[in-house]
Amino acid sequence: MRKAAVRLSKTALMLAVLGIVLTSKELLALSVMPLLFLAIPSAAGLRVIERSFDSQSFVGDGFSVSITVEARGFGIIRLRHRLPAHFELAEGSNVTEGSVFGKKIMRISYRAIATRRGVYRLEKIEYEVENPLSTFVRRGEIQADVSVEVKHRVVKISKVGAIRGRAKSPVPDIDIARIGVPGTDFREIREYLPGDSIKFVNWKASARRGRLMVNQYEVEGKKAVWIFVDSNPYMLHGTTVKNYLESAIEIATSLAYHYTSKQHKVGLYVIGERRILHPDIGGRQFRRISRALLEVDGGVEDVTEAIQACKKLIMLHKPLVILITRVERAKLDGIVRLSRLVPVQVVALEGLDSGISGEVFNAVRKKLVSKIRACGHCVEFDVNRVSSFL
Amino acid sequence: MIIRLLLAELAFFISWMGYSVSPLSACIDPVYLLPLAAIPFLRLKKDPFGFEFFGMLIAMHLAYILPGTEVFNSSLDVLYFLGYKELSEYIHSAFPAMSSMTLPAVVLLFCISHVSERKEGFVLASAVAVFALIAYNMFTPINAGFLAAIVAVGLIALSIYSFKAL
Repeated sequence: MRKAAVRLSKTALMLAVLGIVLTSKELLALSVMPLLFLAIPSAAGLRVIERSFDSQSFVGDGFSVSITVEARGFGIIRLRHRLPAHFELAEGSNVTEGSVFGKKIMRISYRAIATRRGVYRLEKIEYEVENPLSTFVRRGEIQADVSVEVKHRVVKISKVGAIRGRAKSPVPDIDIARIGVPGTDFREIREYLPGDSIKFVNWKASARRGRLMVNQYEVEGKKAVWIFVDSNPYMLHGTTVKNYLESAIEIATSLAYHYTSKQHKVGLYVIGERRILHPDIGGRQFRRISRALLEVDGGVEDVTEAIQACKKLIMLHKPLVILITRVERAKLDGIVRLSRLVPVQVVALEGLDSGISGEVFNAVRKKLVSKIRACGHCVEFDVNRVSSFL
Repeated sequence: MIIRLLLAELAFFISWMGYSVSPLSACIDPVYLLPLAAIPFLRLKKDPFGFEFFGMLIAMHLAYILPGTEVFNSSLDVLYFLGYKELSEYIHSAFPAMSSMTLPAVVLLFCISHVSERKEGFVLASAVAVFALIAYNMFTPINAGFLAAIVAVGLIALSIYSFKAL
């Protein structure tokens, strides 16, 4: 009920009370008059008849949406395609209004800029059907089925410092995968283990040694890379558009693209959401990682717990582990221990802290970075720079 | 807000005209009521046609509302019973029962001022007001010429509204 309706009701009531108190038929008859204004109806049926939109966009880029709605009925109709708070309207309007008497075609057409990554389902159009006298209003929603995927633009990384594990033998080696499909390059003869295929048994060597020996071949594919993205609440420091988590996701996307394009197996673990993507190769794996990173909202999980949860898989693949976090806030005992087993690279984010607390965090970070560098590799990364500087 | 101010002033003018020809004008000279026209201007920022101002306009019509009612007649009976026979008879003769066309007009102007200020809403409200006036006059005697005029105005308003809406 609108203000006008309340006023009209009050007027009718006042006249009726006065009429009763003064026993005036005239006032009683007059009390009906305001009610006649309330009797004007409003009704509308709304239907989306056409929609077109850009289903994919990049952070900072614009996308267009156009929706045509058929309205039937009587009244003043307002339509609003609700946008998330971090969308900027660049052109047109996501709101339209019109008086409908019978049938009318209404169109919402706009161009917006998404300032944050994510999968946005803009499925609902809010409507308001108002009485022409502004006495009553009816609100509701209609389905529009509009969905926009906003990604971080993949920054091509020109060079990533190669990190190798400790050599077990003085023989020079390349970064090859530990598990996978055996190739044709002979590596060594070793004792038979349950699960080894019979076709790899070296019968001559077995006869010489008196026990089953098998040929081992180099497996195909390059070494695995496992990216750990920290999404704990302390990563949300900054604005909704620019914060540590957004930068971590941007870096992770760029790194995933870099390694998948170089035929490395790439895996992902989102610390906080406990989301895991097993290492795999190819463009499809990159798209999978990119999609998973789009949907990151954040959660609470200790870095050490996350490492522990993946330890078996890490030992199986022996990957290069890349952790993107704020070293001054994360507990890194687990990563220090892990660096004794596999090569580890930590990307320490910085650049959004200011004031006295910023100075304190900087001092703590520098101390921790030097501690990590003693046992692994650590890159300090200013989130205000683009990730090609990695 | 300007439309509301104009409607308030129009309502005051109609009420003042009604008051001028009512028996109550013998008690208070209508000229003394003219400064009350400034009230809507003084309340321009808040609400030029508020409930208080509407109540005052209703009060200006007491000479049309009270006579003929049970309350009024009972009061005269009480005066008569208490021994004020002349006073009772004087009031009875001074305030004859009569109907007024200005009171429903004031009520309708007040209603119109509180509905939408959009063009379509205003025209529709005017049409509803004309309909309400006709309905009201079905219960009270009315001048045929006046009725014809308001019916014509109502039809014009309706046609304008239909044209705009289409």
